[in-house]
Amino acid sequence: MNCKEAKSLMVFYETCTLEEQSAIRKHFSNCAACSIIFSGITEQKEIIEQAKNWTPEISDPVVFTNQVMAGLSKRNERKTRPNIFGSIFQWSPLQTSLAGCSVFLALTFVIEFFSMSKPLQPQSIVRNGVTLSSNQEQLIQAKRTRTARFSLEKVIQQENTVALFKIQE
Amino acid sequence: MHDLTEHELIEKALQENPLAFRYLVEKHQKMTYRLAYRFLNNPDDAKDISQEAFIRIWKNLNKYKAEIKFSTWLYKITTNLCLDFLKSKHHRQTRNLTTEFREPRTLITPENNLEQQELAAFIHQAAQSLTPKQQAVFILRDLEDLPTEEIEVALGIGSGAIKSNLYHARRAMQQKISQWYHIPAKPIQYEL
Repeated sequence: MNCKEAKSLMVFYETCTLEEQSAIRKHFSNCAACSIIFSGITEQKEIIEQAKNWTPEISDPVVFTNQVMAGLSKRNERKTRPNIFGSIFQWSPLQTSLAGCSVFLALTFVIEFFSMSKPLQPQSIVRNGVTLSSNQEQLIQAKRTRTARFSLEKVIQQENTVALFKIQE
Repeated sequence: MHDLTEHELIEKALQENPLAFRYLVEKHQKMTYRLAYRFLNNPDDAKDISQEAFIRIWKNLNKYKAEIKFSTWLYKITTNLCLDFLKSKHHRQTRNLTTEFREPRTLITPENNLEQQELAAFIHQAAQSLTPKQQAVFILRDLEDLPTEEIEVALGIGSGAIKSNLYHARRAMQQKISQWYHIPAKPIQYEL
């Protein structure tokens, strides 16, 4: 038996088999270090045995029992006490109306939710008595911008041509 | 009612007979209180927890299995309540025991009850610095002398885990005790 085996067994010396105990004792005769550890373990056991001799006592066992029984009767009382709110909610007209209200609220919520999540319709614009959608209006605006840019380019081009003629002259 | 067996008392208690349950409380209150005290090291907390254990027993009496000893079931419920209490109250603070007990002690004589009480308080306090499982195994095995089979039922762990936790608990306790007592190291001579 080596030191590692002895150390793991000596903690449970009292539950070891006779062969194991004999092997441990044989190891101690050759190993002073393990013997010292075991002496510590033996001392510890003695101290724990001494501590075990003192047992805490209940100051008044009758009061203790009475308090437990009072705790039980309180619990039973709570179990058997009629539940006022429970009996009110068991009244069938109230139950029906509560169910109706909750269905109404749920439906309202669902409708509101879907109406909010729907995409916004484009607003229609009336121009010169003709109803236009916003897309059409945007198209017109874009066309106007393009025309204006084109005419500006034309003016610049004409001015450039006039300037060129003047230089040539 | 006193001549009834424990099993008969439980049967009667199951039929909502408070007197039968009262006898069970009277029979086991000392053991329950002692166990709670060893976990909590405080008489008031031990009283509250042991009373709560009996109330819980009453509440769950219909779940009691006859193949388990009533005392083992009581050990299980009390141990769980104690561990929960220690966890919830943050009692598990690692305390430096050497600073609390400043003066080194000498080994006491068993005649002196006050010193025994002080020694027991030290052991209970030192056990509180172990992990919950180690503390439970140490108290049930070394202080309550419960067999391993009953500890298995009480803690819901296997024999391997019990052995491992007990090993670490005993090593840790040995260190604390030797710190407190300043036990001189001396080899033991064995006759082979």
